[in-house]
Amino acid sequence: MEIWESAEGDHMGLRSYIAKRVVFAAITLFIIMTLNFVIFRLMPGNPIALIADVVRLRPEQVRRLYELFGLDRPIWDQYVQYIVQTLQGFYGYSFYTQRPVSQDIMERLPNTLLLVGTSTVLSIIIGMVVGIVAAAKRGSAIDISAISFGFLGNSVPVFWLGLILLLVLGVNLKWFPLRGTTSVPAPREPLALVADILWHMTLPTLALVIILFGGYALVMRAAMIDVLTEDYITLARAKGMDERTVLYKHALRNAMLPMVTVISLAFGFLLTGALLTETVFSWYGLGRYIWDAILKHDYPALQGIFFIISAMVVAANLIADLIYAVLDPRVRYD
Amino acid sequence: MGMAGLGLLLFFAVMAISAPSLTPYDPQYTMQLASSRAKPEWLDPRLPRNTLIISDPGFSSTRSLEEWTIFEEGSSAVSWSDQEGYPGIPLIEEGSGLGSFQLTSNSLRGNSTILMEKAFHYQSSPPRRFSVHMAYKVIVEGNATWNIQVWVRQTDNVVLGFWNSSTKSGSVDWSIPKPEIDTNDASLRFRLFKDILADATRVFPVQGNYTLVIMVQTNVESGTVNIYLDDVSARIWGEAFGYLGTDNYGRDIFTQLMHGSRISIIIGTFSAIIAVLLGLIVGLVSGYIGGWLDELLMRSNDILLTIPGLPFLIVLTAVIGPSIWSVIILIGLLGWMGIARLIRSQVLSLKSKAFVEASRASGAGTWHIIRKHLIPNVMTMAYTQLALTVPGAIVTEAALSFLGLGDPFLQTWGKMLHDVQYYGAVAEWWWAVPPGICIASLSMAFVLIGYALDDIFNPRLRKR
Amino acid sequence: MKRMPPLLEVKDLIMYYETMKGDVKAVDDVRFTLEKGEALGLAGESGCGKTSVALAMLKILPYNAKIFSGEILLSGVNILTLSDEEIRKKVRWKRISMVPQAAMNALNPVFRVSEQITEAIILHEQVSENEAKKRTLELLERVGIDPSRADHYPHEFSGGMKQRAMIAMALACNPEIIIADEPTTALDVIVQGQVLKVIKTLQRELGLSMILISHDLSVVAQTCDRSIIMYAGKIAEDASTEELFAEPLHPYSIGLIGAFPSLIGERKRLESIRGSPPNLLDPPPGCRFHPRCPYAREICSVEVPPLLETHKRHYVSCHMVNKHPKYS
Repeated sequence: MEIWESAEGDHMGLRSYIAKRVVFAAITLFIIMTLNFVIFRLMPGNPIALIADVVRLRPEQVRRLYELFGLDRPIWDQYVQYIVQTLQGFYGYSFYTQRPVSQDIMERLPNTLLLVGTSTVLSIIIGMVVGIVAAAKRGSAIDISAISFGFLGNSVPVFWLGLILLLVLGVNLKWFPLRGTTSVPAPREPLALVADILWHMTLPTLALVIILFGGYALVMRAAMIDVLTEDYITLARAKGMDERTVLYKHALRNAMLPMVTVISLAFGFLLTGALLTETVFSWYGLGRYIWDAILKHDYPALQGIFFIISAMVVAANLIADLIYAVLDPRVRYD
Repeated sequence: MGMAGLGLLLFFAVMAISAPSLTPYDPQYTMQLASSRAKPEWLDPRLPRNTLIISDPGFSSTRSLEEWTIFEEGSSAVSWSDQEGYPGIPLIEEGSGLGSFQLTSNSLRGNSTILMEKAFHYQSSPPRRFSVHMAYKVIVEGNATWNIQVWVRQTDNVVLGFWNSSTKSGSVDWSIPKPEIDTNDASLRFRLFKDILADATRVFPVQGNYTLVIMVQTNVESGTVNIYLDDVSARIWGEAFGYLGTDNYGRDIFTQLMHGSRISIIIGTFSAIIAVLLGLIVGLVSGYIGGWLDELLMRSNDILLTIPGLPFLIVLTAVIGPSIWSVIILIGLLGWMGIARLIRSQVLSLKSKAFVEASRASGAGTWHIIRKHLIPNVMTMAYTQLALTVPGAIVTEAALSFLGLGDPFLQTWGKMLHDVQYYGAVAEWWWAVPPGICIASLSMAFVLIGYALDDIFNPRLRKR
Repeated sequence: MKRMPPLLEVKDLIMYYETMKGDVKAVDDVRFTLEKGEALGLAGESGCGKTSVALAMLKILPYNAKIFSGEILLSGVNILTLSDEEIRKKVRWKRISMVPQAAMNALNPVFRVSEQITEAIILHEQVSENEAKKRTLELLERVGIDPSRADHYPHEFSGGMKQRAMIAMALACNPEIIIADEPTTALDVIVQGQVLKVIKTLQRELGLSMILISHDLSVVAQTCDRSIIMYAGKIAEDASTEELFAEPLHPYSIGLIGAFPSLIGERKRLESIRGSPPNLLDPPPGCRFHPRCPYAREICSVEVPPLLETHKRHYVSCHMVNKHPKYS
């Protein structure tokens, strides 16, 4: 008798959704690799000439390098070789350190991930709480500060904030160290080492969180405000639920949906911010690596970094898409 | 809120427009205004300011000789000459033109020594740098030797010999001492103080009376010697300069700050305009025409959104080469995606509205409909997005410059911060803080304007 | 014979909405009673205040609503004076529940339908989750929804199913009063009939008191024992449905009932009421209907007509009627 029986079961929809997102991520990655290849081949002069610039090479060495880099083969071959190598994790040799770029990156990546991970989690949590309270208490001090920090996050350069924090808390007050991931020499004992790293991490994390939480707070606030106007919220109150339950059970679940989208979009910005902040604090991560690579015209390093960073962002977006599917039952049927 | 934004924007616009009149220096090229990394003048009044010891180094008239005290031993004629003047060195320095100090000596006079002294009182804390500039020309007719020296007599009558031409016998056309008389020269420091790490603090260690002495000695066997001196200047380099001190090259930081506003405003608005134009076109076409074109454009949109912006810009700029136009265009090219999505959804909702249907029913062409019906309705959103995109562009440019990828010929605010980081000058807060404040305030101005526009165009019923 | 005290009594309720442009006088001196087991219809054009009255009963008014004066007595207790906690625990859903307008939006899209119903049960009754689940399935069956669909999400239900699910939810705690706010408005005609049937049947079977709000007089006519016609925040006429529809007294009622085409009975000429409802920010002085009333006299624009009992349990607020020798 029902005209609108729904046909599919739960799992079919979910599977096809996941498949679509994975394919999309793969295509994006592929395009990034292609761009990476094309851009660096666009450069005038060939890479070997650039290396020869930095390091004195004998003619036989130059010839060997030509072979090694496959520069004597047609451009299509080079392209394929590049794709294959990149997927295998080989990104060429750094001009400056003379080591494989992948090795340089792997040394520094964990530090960057530590910084990025901690800052992300903290900004999201703080942003969400502030946003929820701001939406529930419109016009209060929290509401106004949420909006203000949201605006400031867009305007204040994070690396400058890092400089200021370094100046005030590091140079003037001497509460925090001025550079590095750990003290030199690093403490041996694991607990002390962890504490040392955390102490060094405080200022960069602080800079990142201050800039970023405002954006999350604004989105959470807007999403909550929208949700709180919905009929099912009024009904939840009518059913006799206390305000706390209404906010955190009924409203939040719905407001999380746009939040997840924003988190995935913002990951790219957060990563970029972390990279910039790292240079200020000489945090031994990818950011510092970029700064040095630019100074020394280390193109293979830049190429490798660009790929790794893009891959991370694509992966983060994919994870966010999947989380969204879990949270929103409606999306499995699109 | 919008008024505050407009006010801020006006402030920076005024700053940008009046920058040249606020400060006479060029932010990029006027170097060596004072000691490098000089502090702002208001920070510490005891810090020495730029002190030019000689008021008229060019010897423009006979009166110029009055500031000097001249001691003659033996006899030679000392006068002002309007026949000779230091012509300068092409592309390096300008001469002051005709007018110089002339000393004439001949065999009748024999051995003679002239001391030109300029006494002055120094009353600041010891400076780090002191330099003397002098141009000289010697015309020897006959057989004669000559010697020029530059000394400083300190408060306790200790004499520091800064330069000695050594006894020469031939004519010399206009020259300047090589190496230049400057406490920055390590060999001079070593020679004077036996210590490479010394600086001008040893020259003027206490407050008191000092004398700059130029000694000219001639020994004429036969004939005449004419020695001309011009462009004689001595400078105690200031440790404090201007409102905000100097950077590593002695450039005025305040000037850089003022001029930076021009660049930031230009880069911000131009990039944003490019981004909004692109977003408008893509959004309109995608939304209205739909179909596979829409699919294609939106997929590209999503892919470009995923590629992290700044790393991509870094790679592009590193390869293309940093210049202000490439930065503007690239930032614009990477900023249209969000706008395109917004415009597209607005177009989609407009598309089904009655007046578009009616227009199409009456036979109007696609382009016509877009122009007459869609664009006007979409423009309000375009303006709002324009205002909201500028801050991102400004901050992105600052980030690029900070990393060293900005136009190397422009001192933008971001470049200033790069210098701070590169030269490790974090503690010099008058250098590190203002550029960031300016970036933040200018961006805030646009953010406030943007949100105010949004409020105006999308009034939402406020529930109290 | 002494009459039983009414289950619900609304006395002289005055309620405003504060807006940026001023106070909207949404409910102005409203007064009525509801007996046990009675189905009462609140009818009128949109914006006449009927939903506001219902929201006031559950105290789920929006932030800018202010209750100026009046009482709402539930079994003799003025619920307007109860604390938030007491209202939550004792009144909401347990004694008064609601089937809101546009039920499609009242179901939280991220929770399953059964979850939302069991939630209400557990909140007010001391039963185990299994018990509550069992009750939920029974309720769904009662309203004609296959229990196997219980664990689905709201977007998998059709409009009519959602409406019926809302009815089930409203019955979950065995309330004494159900408020049905425009239960058929968002549905098409065929489904309307189904839903109305369910409502009517349940109300009879369970002996519930019901307030049914609608701008559609035919719905009210079908389901309610008594009907109240509201206009511009005030009550125009209050009478048993039979009497009201047979012989409406207030000019507005006459216009309304004349305006609805009847599917049965002789074809009468359709007369619509000229003009449009007033702006409640600044309503007309005196009788709020007088600008549109064909019988208006001078007194109508000066004095507000009181709600007077013209004959047994039939109330009208109109000067012409009240002063008519037949009714005074």
